[in-house]
Amino acid sequence: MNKKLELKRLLIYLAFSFGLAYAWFFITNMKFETWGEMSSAKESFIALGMLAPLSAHILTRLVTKEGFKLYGKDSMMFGISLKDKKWIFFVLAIILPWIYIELGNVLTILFFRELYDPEYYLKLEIDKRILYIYPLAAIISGVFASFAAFGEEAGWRGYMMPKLLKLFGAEGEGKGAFRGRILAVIIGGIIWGLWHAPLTCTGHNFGTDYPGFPYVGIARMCLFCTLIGIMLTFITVKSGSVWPAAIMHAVLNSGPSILNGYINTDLATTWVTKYYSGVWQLLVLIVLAAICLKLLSGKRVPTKA
Amino acid sequence: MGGLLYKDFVSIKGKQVSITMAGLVILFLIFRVIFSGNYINENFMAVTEAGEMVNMLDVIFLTILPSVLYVFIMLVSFCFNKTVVYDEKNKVRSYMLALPLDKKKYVASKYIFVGILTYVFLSLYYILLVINNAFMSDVERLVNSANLCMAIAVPSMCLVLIMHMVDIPVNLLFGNVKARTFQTIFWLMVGFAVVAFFLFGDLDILDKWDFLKLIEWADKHAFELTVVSILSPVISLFFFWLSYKITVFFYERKEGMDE
Repeated sequence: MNKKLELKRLLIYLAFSFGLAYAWFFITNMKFETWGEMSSAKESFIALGMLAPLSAHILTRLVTKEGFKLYGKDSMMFGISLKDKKWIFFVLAIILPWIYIELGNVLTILFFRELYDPEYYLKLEIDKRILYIYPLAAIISGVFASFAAFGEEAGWRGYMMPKLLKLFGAEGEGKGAFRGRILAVIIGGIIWGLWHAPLTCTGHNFGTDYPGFPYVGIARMCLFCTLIGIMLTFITVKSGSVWPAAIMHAVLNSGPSILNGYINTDLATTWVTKYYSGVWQLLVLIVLAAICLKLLSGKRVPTKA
Repeated sequence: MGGLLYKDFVSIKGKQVSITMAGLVILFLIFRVIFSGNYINENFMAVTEAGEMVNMLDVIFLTILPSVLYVFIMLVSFCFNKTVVYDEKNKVRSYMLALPLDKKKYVASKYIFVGILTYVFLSLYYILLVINNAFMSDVERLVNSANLCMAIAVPSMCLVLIMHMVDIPVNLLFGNVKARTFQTIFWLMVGFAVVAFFLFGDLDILDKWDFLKLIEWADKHAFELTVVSILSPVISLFFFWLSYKITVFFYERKEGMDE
């Protein structure tokens, strides 16, 4: 493997991905409105920037002449295979986000009791019956409207992560490969987090009302992307396809949770509960990411999807 | 399987179709930006019964969207038919008999291809909706209509799967000519039923129909509609899979490959 060539290709991809996305985010929000100020229609329109990594992937392959193989070694990983128990990763993609969010919410309610509001869903004007089927609704809408998430995963897991894993020698076995995997997922997570920086600066995900805005928010986003990125990379490497990652990302964005209707952050009285109520979800995420990193063994990326 | 899907992609001139679709989406974006809801021109303004000022440009674009959805539904059918015609014309099935290829895989490739087309067109429709909504004025009636356009997307695509749950086995088991005949007879019967209603039916029902009542009804039955919108993809996918199983059962027992 020619590392210099792979690095060059990766840099071309990053130039396209950041260039297209930043241009889109800038053009669609020239008034620099915050996420809270703009309408949900405008938020969705800006979110079309999620298609930038897919576009960047295609453009990079056109420039580098790597070809457009859909599955197999050095492919775009767009193929799907359910053989050799790979269907398990599709199921994991659907239920893991729900487990992570709900478990985090259980711990939040247990340890930050002041945030528990049994009638919060009424204030949000949500029918209780809809609240209890919300995880199923979120999962199904996530799966069927996963094109935006596919737009991101096709680039990050379909192109960037395989390149990073190769560059850091993560495909082999042993301690060196494990160290390589850790470096690859950390660098990949930071890149992904920085890619979100224009959105973080408008208050996407964390709002604008926290100490250290927007730099702390960007750092948090890098951390979040690293941890989620580990799970997404695990699921991609094991299944040989970006589709489980796309589905998982889409379901995660839908926020499948019943307990979200019972946690009211407006009731926060301490500094921790006001700004870091998500700390328990973060802990659950760290545990899940650690398990995924451990399971991301020295097995090569499957040569057949 | 990948090869079979690629063959179908080539048969519908997939590359040209993809570029055309991408171009049309970009064109839609350009027109929507130029003729946005903020483009105030006295000639384009109207007043609703509720006294709200509505930009007719918004209404025009909103009217286009359900038509686009209908076109996408027809395109899935059209593309599938093209693949069947291509296979019959080029004797693909006879060629496949000479290869170590399972008949099951051939059938599966058709179902998967229709599934992929449905997903792609649904995604394109969502993109058009997002573009439209971003440049639409914030009038309640328009927002409700746009939400309705969003709500009908998944059930419409489920309808596509239900339609093809019959169309695919008929095409594969009886050939494209017979399948087109059945389709024509079916739609003629639907057409006759509609004409019969207009000639002999109680047209007062149409007088009583009111769009606002539909919105109110939808608000009142939000839970039931949510359950339907959640379950419809699951149910339609289940029937689609069942149709695949039944088709495979009969196709494997079909003698030779009819052309």
